[in-house]
Amino acid sequence: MSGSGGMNDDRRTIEALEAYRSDRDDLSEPELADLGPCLAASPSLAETHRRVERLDAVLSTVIQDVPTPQGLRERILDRLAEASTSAVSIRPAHGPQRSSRRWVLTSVVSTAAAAALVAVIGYWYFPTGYTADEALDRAVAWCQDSSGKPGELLPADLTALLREHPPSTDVILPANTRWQPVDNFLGRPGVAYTMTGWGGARATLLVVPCSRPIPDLGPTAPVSPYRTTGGLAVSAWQTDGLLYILVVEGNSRTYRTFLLPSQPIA
Amino acid sequence: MSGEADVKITELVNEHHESVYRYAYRLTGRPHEAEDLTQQVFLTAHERLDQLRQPEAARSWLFTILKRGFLKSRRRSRPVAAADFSLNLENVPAETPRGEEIDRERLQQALDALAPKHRVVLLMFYFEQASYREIAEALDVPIGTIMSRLARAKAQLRQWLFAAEGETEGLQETTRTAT
Repeated sequence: MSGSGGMNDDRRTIEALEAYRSDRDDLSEPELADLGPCLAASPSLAETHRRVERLDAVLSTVIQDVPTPQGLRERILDRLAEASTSAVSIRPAHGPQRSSRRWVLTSVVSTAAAAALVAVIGYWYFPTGYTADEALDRAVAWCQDSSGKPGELLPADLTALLREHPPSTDVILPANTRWQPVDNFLGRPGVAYTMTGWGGARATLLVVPCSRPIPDLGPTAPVSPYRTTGGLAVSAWQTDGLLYILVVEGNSRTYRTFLLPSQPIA
Repeated sequence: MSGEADVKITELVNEHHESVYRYAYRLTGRPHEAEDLTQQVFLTAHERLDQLRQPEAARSWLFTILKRGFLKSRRRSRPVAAADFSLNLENVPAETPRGEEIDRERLQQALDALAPKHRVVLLMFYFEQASYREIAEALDVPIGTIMSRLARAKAQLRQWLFAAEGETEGLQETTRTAT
């Protein structure tokens, strides 16, 4: 930057010029001390800097021009309230009141699932530890990427499916449930069950083998979702060597329609 | 929620939720993720309210939580290899465009194409109006590294925004692999 030329000086000059804000006392800083004389000696360089600053001002404004989604403030406050209450809520042992043909698969699936869960205890491990947030992020991303792909109807012989990836006994699986394999979810193959509930509400239950405990996850489906953002209600739990993530299109109320009935313990 | 802390966090949400979301959106490029990140910022803020000694510093404090959360979420991304994407002042347009002439979609594509560490530096410069020195101190990174990242990120952003059609082909791969 001293005028001796060379690639290093050019690089330093450009870096200094990009960093320099003329409305501050930047030129007194040691990193930019050489820039002042350069600008004074070179009108074209000074003009370039003025153009850079004018453009930076426009870009600053444009970058901050982002529309915010409706109801964002309310959803944040809801989430804060849920976080406060979840610290004192206790998930009970549920007394399922399975009803009717709509949930006809539930009893079959849950019974077989309970047996299958035992077989996978301690068998699968995630290659590395993940946080609950990361798992939820991946699940939401997976659902977004695979939307429009409902999967296949459940096979007549459920044995293999239930042995490897049994659905949670906390979740109601309607007769219209479909499934599809998930090649790689946090490093493990899993299965996604896609369901359509009352009023057309859609939900996806991801089931992935995972014995390593993930902090903050309980052993049963939480009564309230961990997240209710962007039109999705999402929760996760971990039991018997399996990670379950439930992604419901809707709010907390919609989310609860996919859980087997239970009464919270006061 | 109840108590003084809840009153404070509600005030913070009321005052800052939009700016935090905007920043989160520019960092992530995805509305869902931006909203999740925004919610997480306020949850974290609620837990650590005692750390906020100066109310006038709330915005900056929330942005710090946001950036840490973002970088943490990207820590498990694919490893990136070093690449030298170049400094360039020649792509500064002679006539400064008006704000409405900037293609918003292309702008976000340009940000998404930057490596997370470059994106954070660039957004601190543009969104927070931070100086290179303030950025270096906040991120605890040497000043020279920040100046280098800032200059390259700005050049790359301009290249995306003002290069002729076709000139940005392959650029995404290049910038994504830069450290």
